[in-house]
Amino acid sequence: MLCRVKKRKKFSSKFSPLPEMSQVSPLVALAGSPNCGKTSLFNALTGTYQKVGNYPGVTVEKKSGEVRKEGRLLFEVIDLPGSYSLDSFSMDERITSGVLLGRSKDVRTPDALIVVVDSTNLERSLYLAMELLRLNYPLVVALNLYDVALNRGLSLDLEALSAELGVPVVSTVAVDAKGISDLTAEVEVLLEKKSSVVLDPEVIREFSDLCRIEEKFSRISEILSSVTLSSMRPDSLTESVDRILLNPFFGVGILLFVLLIIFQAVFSWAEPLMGGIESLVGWLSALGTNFLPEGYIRGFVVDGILAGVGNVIIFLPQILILFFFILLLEDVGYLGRAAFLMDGLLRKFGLPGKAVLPLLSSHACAIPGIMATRTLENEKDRIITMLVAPLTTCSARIPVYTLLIAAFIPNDKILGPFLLPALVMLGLYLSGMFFALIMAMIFRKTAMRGYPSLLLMELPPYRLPRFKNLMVGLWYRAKVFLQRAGSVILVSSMILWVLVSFPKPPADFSQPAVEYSFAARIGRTIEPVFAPLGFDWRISTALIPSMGAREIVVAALGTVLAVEESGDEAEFERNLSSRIASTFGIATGLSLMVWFIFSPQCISTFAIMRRETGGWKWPVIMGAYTFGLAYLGSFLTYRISSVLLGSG
Amino acid sequence: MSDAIFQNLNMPIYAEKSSTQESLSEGTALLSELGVGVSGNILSLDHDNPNGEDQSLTKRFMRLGFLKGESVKLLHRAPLFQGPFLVEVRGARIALSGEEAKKIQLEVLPAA
Repeated sequence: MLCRVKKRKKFSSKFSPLPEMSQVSPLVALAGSPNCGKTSLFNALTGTYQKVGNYPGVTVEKKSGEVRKEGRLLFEVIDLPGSYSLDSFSMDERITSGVLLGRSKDVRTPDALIVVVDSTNLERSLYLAMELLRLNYPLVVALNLYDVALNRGLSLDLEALSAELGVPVVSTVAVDAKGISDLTAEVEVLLEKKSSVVLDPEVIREFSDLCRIEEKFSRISEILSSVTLSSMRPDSLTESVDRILLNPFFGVGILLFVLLIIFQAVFSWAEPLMGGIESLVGWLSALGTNFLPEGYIRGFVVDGILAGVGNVIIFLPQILILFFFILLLEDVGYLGRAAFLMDGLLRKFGLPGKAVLPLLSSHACAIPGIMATRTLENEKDRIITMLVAPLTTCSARIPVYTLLIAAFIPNDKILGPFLLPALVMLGLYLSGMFFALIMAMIFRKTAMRGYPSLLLMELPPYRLPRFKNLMVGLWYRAKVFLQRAGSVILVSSMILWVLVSFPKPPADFSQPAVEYSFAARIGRTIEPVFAPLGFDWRISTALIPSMGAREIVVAALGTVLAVEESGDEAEFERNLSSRIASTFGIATGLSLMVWFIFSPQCISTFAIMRRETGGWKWPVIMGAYTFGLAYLGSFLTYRISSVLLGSG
Repeated sequence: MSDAIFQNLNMPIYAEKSSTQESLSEGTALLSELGVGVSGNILSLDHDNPNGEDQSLTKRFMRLGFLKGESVKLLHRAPLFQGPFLVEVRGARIALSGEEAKKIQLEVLPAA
């Protein structure tokens, strides 16, 4: 699939300034309120002719694409963030009104608009259309979700509605090709007329006048009552489903169950796929090892490039599984309900209810978790959630914890039947979530002062998911990840490879080769920094390759402690843990565990955060504060346990 | 149905709260004090902000269909830690947090 898309993209970039259109192609914007099905309409219009980016300086996603007929480019289309009005409050709305009012430096003023309205919620969603009509925008109204409205008994005189509004009205079902081609045809007619918008500041001012707002709503009611032939029945399905899903007793239980399923899926369904990717990379490495002559080139191809590519695509299964569920729940209408149920609790920590999903999915891996913060509209909320997400216990920490627990924690029973190692594991796990929430509260009280964004939002009616829409969404997530984060992860994996493998030791060097490498030299250099935490140069050295992924520290410790590699992984781990236990004291062991609760050292997290926030500022802040916490936590643990437990 | 029982269990908690609010005149209540299932007509959208210094919340309310005279029905209240409110206005379901619900003053309608 990826391959075919690539070809198409080349085709479009080569031919897009078509001969018959000498200037820039016309720009059409999709505008509409949240939940009106705008994104599925955008997906239906553009298919995979989509470009993704960010509006400069903010985390709001910019989606644009091309509408083609038989390969010919008709017009460019931009999907503006959901907005109820041009009088804007949220970051999303500011972007939308900026573009529509010709104030955006990034996007030119559109030549025509498709105003997407939710047919099941006409009064609210026609409001934006009323404002845009005041500006004389050339526009066509797309009555989206028209099938749902018809099913609920709505009957509208579309011609009368079109006459009342003075603009064409097209009924669309976002997945239906008929509505889409009608819509495209109407837009083409509009574009031919070449009328243009009048951005009168007087008119713009009236959008924030309370009386004028009321006037517009009563005008909408008037229009609707004159064109409605039969009105809609209440949505009894949504009512009864909400009675169960939002029930004070069952609601939270069901939510936890849903989250558990998602968490479980990201955690375990991804496992075989990740295993598959690993064995594929392993097989390719073996192939390279057999066919390439021994030397730098082989090392570079096998341990540099292949391992680096492996480090990138290893995340895809988790990202795709998580986003499958997010898109599904969003499509069905449950995502807003989940936020509703968790809002009270998370608000105590300065986070909105919607943060529940990114935070929980970070327990599998912070990469998909940070990508999932896209569901938060508010900039500050998003950044706080991203900053604290890496503190939750991701799955890469588990092998590290089990190794250290096996080495240092005696297998004693305490508190009845519970084993001490199990309790330590639970403690490590919970401290991740605990510190994430505490840090969210601290950020909210300091750098990100204020309150989490208002909850005030519409909960959409429940709908059946649209499979095609899900697939386009997933494809697009994968593309964003590979394009934006992939390159950083790849390059940093190669740098790490160079640090660990060069320079090669002289022939008479008796220690493991890694001791001669740049990594070991850096390890020795930074040893004084980590000595107060009880880490010697060997641990410091092992921490360097583990910046690629935390679990690598296990293998790296094996290398620096010269534990024999053996075919049996369990045996290797047993040998390694007893070697660790005999080399380091328990205070060092505990200190290292605490280090891994906080440590920011996964480069992929930095890469994805840079991509999501559009710069290095927030990744650097995240790195600095987690390093500070890790250092402080490990220092205190080492000092206190040295005193209490004796050994150093 | 069993959930009807749960809703009834819930009601006294919120009814109690409203009785402690004496500043409000007879028959009026804040949305935050309404019992589940109770409706009211909107009297004001900026309670405790009579001078209207900051109209932004009021305008956001209005765009979601909270207009003076419109009827609002409290459908659900989220259970955890004074969770948010879900109301029905003009045929749509709108979620608001406790702080937001305190801004809306209603004339309580008798139970249908």
